[in-house]
Amino acid sequence: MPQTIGNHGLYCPDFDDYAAVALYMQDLGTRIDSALDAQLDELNDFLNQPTIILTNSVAKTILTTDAIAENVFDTVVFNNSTFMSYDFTVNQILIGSVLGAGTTVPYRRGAYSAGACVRMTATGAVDVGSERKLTVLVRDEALLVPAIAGPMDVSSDQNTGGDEGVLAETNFVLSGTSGANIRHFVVSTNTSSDTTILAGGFLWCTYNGATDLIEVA
Amino acid sequence: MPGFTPVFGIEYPCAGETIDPTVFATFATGVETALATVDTASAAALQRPRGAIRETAQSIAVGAMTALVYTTTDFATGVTAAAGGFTILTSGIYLVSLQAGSITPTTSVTSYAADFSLAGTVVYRRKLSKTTDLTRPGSINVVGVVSATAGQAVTFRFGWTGAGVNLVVPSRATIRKISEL
Repeated sequence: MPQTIGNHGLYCPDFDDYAAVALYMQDLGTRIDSALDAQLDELNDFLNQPTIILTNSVAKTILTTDAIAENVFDTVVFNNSTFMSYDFTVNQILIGSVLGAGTTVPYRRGAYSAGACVRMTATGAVDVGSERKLTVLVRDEALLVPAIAGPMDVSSDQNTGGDEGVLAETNFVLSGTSGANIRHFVVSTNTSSDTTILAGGFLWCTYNGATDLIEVA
Repeated sequence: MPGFTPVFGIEYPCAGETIDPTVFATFATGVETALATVDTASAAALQRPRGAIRETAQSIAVGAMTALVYTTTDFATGVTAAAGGFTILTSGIYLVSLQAGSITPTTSVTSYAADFSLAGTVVYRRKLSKTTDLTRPGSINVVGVVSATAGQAVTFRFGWTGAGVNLVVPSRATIRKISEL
């Protein structure tokens, strides 16, 4: 009767079962290989936290006639994940799949962080007290209440030289069956002149890890 | 003819082969090599580049953005912490945060801002302009991820507009690597 060793599925054969030694070593090697591979996968996940980063390579203009920009970012700077992407047609980071998509992209359930930062300067006259605002909105369209998180930052321009930097960051947990999306809204309420969103802003999302604890016997 | 495991290539004998001590030695060596690979990743996980620096009272005059100077390093592993900020030692994606502000009063504060730069270029900035004059700005947080290469510096600034005596600004900055490039 083989004797079980430890809790990784390893065992040793009967002492007199010499004919099975080669088979035993193959099985033992495969089990060790598998156990170490699982550990290495988890370590590599930790060492390479799935992350997507976007920037706007060129400046954008918010017109006095259209105070909201939802398509600020034009370039994916970095993406090491298999389940996050940026859809430039709807201007959203997609985590997993869009609700109802024909092809399902599996995504990691767990804790995420996301944020954005843009800098804005009026092109001309400043309405003192006009707002420069950034909202980051995380939604899961399959939920009864789709909005999961929606941090907002606002600066009330006092005509102190422009370069109004606004930054919103949030932490959230995804556990739904569908995917989620992350939108951004940049607003300027300046009516005396257009507002420039400077090049070099950022939108990002990173997966921090699972929220469930895996107990090792 | 020996076989090999699929991931780490641990060599094992196949049926019909002569089993002698060298077979066990080869097998054990293969396991040892596989363990060493995992050990390397494990050590890297335990020694993730990270750091935290702080300053309790930097005097900052009204006007231009001023470089924050840090006199205390809380910890620094895998990054160089210095008075001017951090220097990246290994390329990667880093999460950076800054908290700066002041509770000491001055005549008036119409706006205050904090930012951090990568290799001299401002990457994340936050500015709060107020509809009413303040006499003290309070704290402001700036946080974001950057793609950085070895040798690049991460530096921090604070500035304010208004009038009056210098603000005394405590600040704290942190950095941690979250991914390889």
